Amino acid sequence: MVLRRLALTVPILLGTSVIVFLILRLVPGDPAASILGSNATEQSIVKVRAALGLDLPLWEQFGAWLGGVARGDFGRDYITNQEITEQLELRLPITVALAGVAFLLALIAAIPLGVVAAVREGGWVDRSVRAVAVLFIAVPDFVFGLLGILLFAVGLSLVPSSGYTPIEEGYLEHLRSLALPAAALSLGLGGVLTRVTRSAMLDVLGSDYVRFAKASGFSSSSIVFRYALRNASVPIITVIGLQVGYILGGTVVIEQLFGLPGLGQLIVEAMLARNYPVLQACILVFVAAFILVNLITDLLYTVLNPRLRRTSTS
Amino acid sequence: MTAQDGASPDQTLKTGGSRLRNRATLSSRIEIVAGGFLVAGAVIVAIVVPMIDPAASTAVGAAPALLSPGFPNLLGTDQLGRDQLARVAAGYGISLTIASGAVLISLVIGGLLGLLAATSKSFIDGLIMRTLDVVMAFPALLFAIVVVAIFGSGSEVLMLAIGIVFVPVITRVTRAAALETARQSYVEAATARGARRSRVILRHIAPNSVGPVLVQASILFAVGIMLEASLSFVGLGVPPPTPSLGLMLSTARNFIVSDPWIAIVPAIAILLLVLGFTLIGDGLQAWLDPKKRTTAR
Amino acid sequence: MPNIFKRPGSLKFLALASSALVVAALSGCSAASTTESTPNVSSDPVSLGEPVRGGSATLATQGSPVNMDPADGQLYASILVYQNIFSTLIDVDKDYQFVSNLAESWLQEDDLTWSFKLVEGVKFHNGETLTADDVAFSIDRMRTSGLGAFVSVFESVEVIDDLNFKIRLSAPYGAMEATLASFVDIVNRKAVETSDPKENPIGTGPYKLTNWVKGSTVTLTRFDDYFKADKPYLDEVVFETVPDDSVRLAGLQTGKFDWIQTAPAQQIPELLESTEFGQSNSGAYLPYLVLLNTVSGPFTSIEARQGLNWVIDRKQIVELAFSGAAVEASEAVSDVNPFFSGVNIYEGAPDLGKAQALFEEAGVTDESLTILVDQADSAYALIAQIIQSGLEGVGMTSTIETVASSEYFGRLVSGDYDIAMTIFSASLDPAMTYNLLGQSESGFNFTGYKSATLDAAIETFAFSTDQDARKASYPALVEAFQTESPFLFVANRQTQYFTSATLGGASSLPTLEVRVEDLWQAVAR
Repeated sequence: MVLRRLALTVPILLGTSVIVFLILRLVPGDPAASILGSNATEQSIVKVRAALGLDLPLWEQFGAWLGGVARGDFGRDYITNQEITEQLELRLPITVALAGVAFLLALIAAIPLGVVAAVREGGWVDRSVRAVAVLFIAVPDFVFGLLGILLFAVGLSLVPSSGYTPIEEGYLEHLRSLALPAAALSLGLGGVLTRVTRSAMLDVLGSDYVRFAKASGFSSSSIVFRYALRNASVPIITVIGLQVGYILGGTVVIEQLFGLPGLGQLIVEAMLARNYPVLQACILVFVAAFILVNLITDLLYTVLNPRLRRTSTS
Repeated sequence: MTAQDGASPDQTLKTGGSRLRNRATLSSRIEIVAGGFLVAGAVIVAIVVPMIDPAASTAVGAAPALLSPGFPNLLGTDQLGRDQLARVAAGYGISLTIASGAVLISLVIGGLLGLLAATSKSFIDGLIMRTLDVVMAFPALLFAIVVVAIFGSGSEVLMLAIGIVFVPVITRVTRAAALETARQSYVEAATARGARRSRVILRHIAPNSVGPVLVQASILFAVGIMLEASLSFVGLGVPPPTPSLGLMLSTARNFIVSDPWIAIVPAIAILLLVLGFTLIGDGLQAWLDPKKRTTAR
Repeated sequence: MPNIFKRPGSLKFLALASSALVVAALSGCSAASTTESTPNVSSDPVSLGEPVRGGSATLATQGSPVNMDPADGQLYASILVYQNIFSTLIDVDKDYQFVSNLAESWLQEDDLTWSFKLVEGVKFHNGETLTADDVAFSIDRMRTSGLGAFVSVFESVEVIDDLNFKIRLSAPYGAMEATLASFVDIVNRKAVETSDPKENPIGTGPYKLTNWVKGSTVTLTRFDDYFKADKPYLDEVVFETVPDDSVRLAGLQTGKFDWIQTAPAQQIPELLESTEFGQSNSGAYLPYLVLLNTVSGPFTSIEARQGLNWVIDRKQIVELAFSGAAVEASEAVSDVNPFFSGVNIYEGAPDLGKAQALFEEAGVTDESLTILVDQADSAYALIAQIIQSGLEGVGMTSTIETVASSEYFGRLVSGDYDIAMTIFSASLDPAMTYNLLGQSESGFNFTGYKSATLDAAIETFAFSTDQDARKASYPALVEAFQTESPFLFVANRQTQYFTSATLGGASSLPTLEVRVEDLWQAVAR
């Protein structure tokens, strides 16, 4: 099962890289002309095309590009002639920090809340947790971000309204500059996780095994933590894998809103500037990250769910 | 109608009796109604307000700029003096149109693919599902950006982009429903009598699939509206001056300190619309299948 | 289901308590930092006292430099930075007076000859001494580069000795000093021949380039052998690219930036009143104009172009697109400029009736127009929407196409637009603007308009060295351009820089130069 999952990852990675590669080749306009700008003459276009390798057959170009990527070389960007790998190195830590903090925030908030709501099912705690969860799922992250800026940054001056402070300039300042963006980004995942946790816990808590254990005198907290959570973690992990995609996509908007110079903002800039090599590189990185996360969650899933180790479903 | 009857007797025992089941159904009905109210409200605003004054949403300088809500501009005006209510109405129109188009595209394509996958040989089934895996490997917004990068921006492209993002989900749901139908005894009976398996599935699949598809469709409406707003927010959606709620939010950023209403109005507008669809989806999910107490995006 | 479980309180309480602590810590810290960042020093530059040597400053700009070669002048973002690495022969001050820089003195010998004497002992950053040969080299290489159009009238440079040289022109040129003050930066022949001038700028300016993180920051360090002994004041200057208006302003407010290039227009009144921040003088130095495609499409006819002039509401543009931080413009310069004429043959615009009549005469009705907008400046989009709204008033629809800068210029060159918005940053002397944009053979003539009348008017105004005669002929030039209208000016934007309360010396200049050598930190950091 594990091997099968790993084996499937390779063609998916390949398939996505084909799509990403095709972006550049399918777009209207000639990359050589856009580099040369107003200096574009017939001769210079031919020269530039040859230098870029654009006159080679498509599959050769793809192979060359893929080979470069495997070596960590994403090529050069058309407009500033900078090495794309350098740009990625500068910006990746910011996006990773943002997504990471958002992820942690969601986990730390959602799972306890979900557990509490399940344990006190039907009560006002349960109802309010569910209501808040629905609200968080329904609010687009940048809407919360904007309202958050109004309240926490402009109104209460708790955090800066935009801009990024790198770790070198102070650990606390760094966290403060990420606090609001990460909170906004964490909402969707948080809301979904809360509900999934709650429902998974309810399923487990309502099962015969638990009722039997209760009747046999096991303490409720040990039941909750030792048995219920562990079994509930299976659907929780499945959902996490899917929702990470929304966090990754969300960084594009949140970085734009808060002026964080990460990969997400680079995608938007590259899109608007028609800087396709950069766009390709960024999207590839995001997709690879997403696939990786899903792989990890799938593997975790099989590890935690012994039944699946032997049979194969799908 | 077997799937919709919901809980088996065992299930009822586990959940503590019919009192809880009724409460679950009641709360899900409240959700559906509340959500429906919000969505209907948005639709009405989108249709009625432009009828009062078609040009208001793009009429530059019709009123002083940056007014707070009041009379006659109920929701205030934006930085070019245009009436915010008219712009929100137009924005709702855009969001609903694009989301509807996307959901329609995904239902058609996804539905066909799902049926095809369920009724074909495992080779074709595998091919379809693996191809969809590749599509699903892209975070939704990024895939939409890729499509916009290739085809340019504009309402139709957005519908296509978002629609394709949704296809894998609908395909899975339809395929699962078809496979579920195939397991029913009457299908086996019919095939034993000589009818073609795929024909039988097609004839009987409707009841099994309507529920899950409806649930997914409402969720997809919510997601589609958020995707369109996100794309417009970063400047990749419908071009100005067509008011899109995302675009309104984006331009409002510069004014957030001095004139917060210009940001609050579109923010609340999007929130209410997405909340509406989410509630409907939730309520439907809870009503149709109380065992599964959650909808994941 | 009855509640069969005890409260799992401890875990939840712990979570709540720790989050409360975090919130308290954050608010506590922010309170401290806000009081710290409000200095007691008044924002009035006069009360900052005399300039002191030392310290550093971070300047936040809108764009990012791409090319440090002054002959290319690629993007205003590059020019802004490298003008502090290089020096021009002549400088201009706030009052449009030409003052000496590298050229100690200069003289117009006759219509076609100007002679110059250089300041003695000026050093380049690489230790070389400035000679007239470097000047000749600089001007020669400019002629075949990006800024070549500005020096097309410079025929040759005659080197007499190390300090003396003459520039010979192919025609008398009224904007000679203005051109030299705006764009002609002097490079070192040896430096250009041995390393890439795009990446390694070696000049005579007050600062050396010590670090350049492309797309992000440029670090300049004091050049100790700068020929002006008392300047520069700051030891180090960092230019940081911050494309977003609000992020830039936020940086100023938190003390991260000492100087910002532009602020969101609607915040300006508040900033002006605040004692927390300083500001430079403001001058309406930057013309915004609308280019019309005169080669194909509806604007090939003069009536249509004139009709558009009657449609545009400049007052609305100033109010809504610039929040008042601009002045209406019907010519290249505003009233601060000595040449300003005040001619406006479309007095009373907008007048939709006149517009309609002209459009009908042109046979242009019910058309769908394309308005091309460069995505780099948010003002363009606003102006475009205002024009679009005006056009609707005469029954014409238009689509606004917002494209990235690289695509924008491509489409301008290929004529793929009907209306395009742009700025023109060379307007120290209006001859530079009208000549480059409007002369039939000019490389910057994006509208494609060729007219003997306009060429003649340009000839009279630009290619004469009698400044009084020029001033007298300028109104006629303005009127000629307004009549034929291949492009039209809509507004002149106020250039004003906002600074921290401790930064002195910030000024806004007619050449749109950011003269960092004048800046000092009142509290040395």
